[in-house]
Amino acid sequence: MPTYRTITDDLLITLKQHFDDREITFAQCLWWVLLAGNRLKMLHIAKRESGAFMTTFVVDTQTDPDLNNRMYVTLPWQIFDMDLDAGVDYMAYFIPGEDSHLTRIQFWRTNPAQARSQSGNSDRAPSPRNPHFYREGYRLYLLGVDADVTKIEVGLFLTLPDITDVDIDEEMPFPHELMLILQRNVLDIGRWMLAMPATKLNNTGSERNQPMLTSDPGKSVSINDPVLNPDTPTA
Amino acid sequence: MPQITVQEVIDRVAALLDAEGSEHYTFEQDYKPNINGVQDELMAVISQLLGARKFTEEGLRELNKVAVFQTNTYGEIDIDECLTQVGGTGQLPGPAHKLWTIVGVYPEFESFGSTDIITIGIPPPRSLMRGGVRFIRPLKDAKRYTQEQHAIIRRNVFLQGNQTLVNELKSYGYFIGSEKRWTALPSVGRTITIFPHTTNERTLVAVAYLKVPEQIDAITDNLEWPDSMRDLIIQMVFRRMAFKQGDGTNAYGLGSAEMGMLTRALS
Repeated sequence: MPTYRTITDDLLITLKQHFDDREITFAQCLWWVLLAGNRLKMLHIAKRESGAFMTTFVVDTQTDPDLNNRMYVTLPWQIFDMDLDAGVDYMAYFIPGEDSHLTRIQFWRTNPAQARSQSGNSDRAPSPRNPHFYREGYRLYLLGVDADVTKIEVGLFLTLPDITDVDIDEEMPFPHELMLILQRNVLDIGRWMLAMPATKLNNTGSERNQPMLTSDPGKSVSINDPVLNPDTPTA
Repeated sequence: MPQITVQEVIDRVAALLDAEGSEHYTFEQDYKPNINGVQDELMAVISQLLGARKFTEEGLRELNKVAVFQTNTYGEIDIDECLTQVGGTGQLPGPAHKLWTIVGVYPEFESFGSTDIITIGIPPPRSLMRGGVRFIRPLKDAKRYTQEQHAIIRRNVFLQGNQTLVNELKSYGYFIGSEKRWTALPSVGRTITIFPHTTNERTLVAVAYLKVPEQIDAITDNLEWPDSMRDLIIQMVFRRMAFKQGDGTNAYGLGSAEMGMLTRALS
């Protein structure tokens, strides 16, 4: 897979922004790559049953004294906010002294309201053999797990890193087949930016009598355009 | 290094004036003030062209210098002062340079020579030229901003020179500030401020600049302009000499036309 630097450099050259007084900085173009990349990657994960972009972590359990020592784990990275918390592909653990494989017991996803109603049902109530989790921000609360469990295995669909965290010489975890659509997304943003007549504005920004765009921003795009809908087959 | 000699300019202007062997025009009264005047005029024209990005500094290679400087603890280089302090330990040999304009600022660069920061005997507000460090090539450049823009870009990660991004995404900016008025130290002239800057840290920065060409004083001097400017300079001196004819004769008109053609070719 190409690195963030390769992808961004290619786009900057395509936008003719590789000279010293360029209008689009590397950081800004990289930000666009991350924005468009996150959207396309999430659509790809939602559409395709694949482990290509799933990442496994073993995380320590913690307890929150303000919530009656409720057990939780903290997400080690930002995940896609998909329907039914599908950004968490799986959670599992083993019972100390009984099993030896972390994936032995799988967690079921729930939410606080469901968990409350299930707690009154002896067959469905969370238990060490039938644990549940629900998400609150960066926390995954664990229900039914004994206090001596210290580690949980989680499989997550991670977002691309934030611009302040990204290592631009690392490979970008992104599907190859969507790279062309990613490029098109970023090039469209770049075209809009370059069409903005910044040089026609005064220092105060008061000279707004000029049309906002000096060149053709492009025609309206069909909702079936691959830019908007990756399901559309490309020629 | 090939240079334009004053003698050559005088010979060719005399030929254009049909004044070979004549004592009508003298060096002290005619050629010297006109050659120096042409240098000033060229600087004014080329400054405009540089500002409009219609002329490259490579076209002024004899005046294009690069040196390594050590910032003060505020991330500044007192460029005017540094260029006049030469000949001392760690400084460049003379003569001193007068700054025309800054061509490039490189906070990250490859170099040869000790890059250890010198602190002994250097007060925190003082910057200095590091003549013992030879610049090889730039690794990261700094973008030029105005003094007002500095405050705007400081926290904006998308602008070059912000103080948020680090490592490979770290980028730099600079502005040429006005003279810092301060009672604790005497006036030091213009200052380059490079950012982002870590508080109380001194760093090495390579600066490429154009120096003001030396004014000529003797007929044996050389002009510091590149060979490509030779004919333009001769035509400009000729045009100025033709003023003396006073009435728009052929010599003045021809000289003006020639110089105009060359100036348009540059721009």
